[in-house]
Amino acid sequence: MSLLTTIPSQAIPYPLVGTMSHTAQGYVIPRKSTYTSLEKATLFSEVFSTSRPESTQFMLFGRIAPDWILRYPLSLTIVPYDLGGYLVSDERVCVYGMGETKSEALDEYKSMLVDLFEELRSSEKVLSPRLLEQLKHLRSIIKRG
Amino acid sequence: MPIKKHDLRQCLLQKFRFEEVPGSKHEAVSLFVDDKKVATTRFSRAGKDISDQLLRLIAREIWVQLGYLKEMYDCTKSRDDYLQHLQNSEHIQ
Repeated sequence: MSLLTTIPSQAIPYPLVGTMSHTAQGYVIPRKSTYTSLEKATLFSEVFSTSRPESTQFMLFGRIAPDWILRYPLSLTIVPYDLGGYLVSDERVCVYGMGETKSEALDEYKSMLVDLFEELRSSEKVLSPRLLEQLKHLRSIIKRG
Repeated sequence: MPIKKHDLRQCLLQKFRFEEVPGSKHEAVSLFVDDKKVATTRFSRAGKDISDQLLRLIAREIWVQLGYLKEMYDCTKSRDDYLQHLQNSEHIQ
């Protein structure tokens, strides 16, 4: 059964921390949720699905690690990997994740994202201007929580 | 033809003098030029070989395109070539 059909009044659970109201293609998005990341990703893939069946775009949001939360949704693409499994990537941050299942690939993406963020934070004083720019962007989308 | 993850990582470490990132959970390697970190990439723990599809994503992490990274791996691009590329694309000042 589609996740969307389980949600009354076109309301999509949305745990994003913030002060703004959020909508996605007309869907009202309240803040509380007990959905897992993959369920949320699946749910959003139905809202933001692309025309190419082998490639699905979705929005990642909420907690990405025990200490880190996304400030706002991140647009990701998931595709089957040439050599088996799945590959998740994004256009802006330039991080990827791979796994045998979509869930594993998404989990690795989040782990890679945090790994990159922590690396850049810990070496901030020696970063080139481009990597400083990347760190600044990551700080704008990730916060401790 | 797919590349072994270990082989690509060793190529970056040995030929292009990337350095291992301490504490990384994803075997990250970074390039320092004049004491500045200018590029960094990390590797999946999935244990699969690296096809062009994945190599393209790794390439953009170190500021090159797929074809360029292949040439780096195939030894038709040297470290000096790569540093020149980084300078031309203003990743090194």
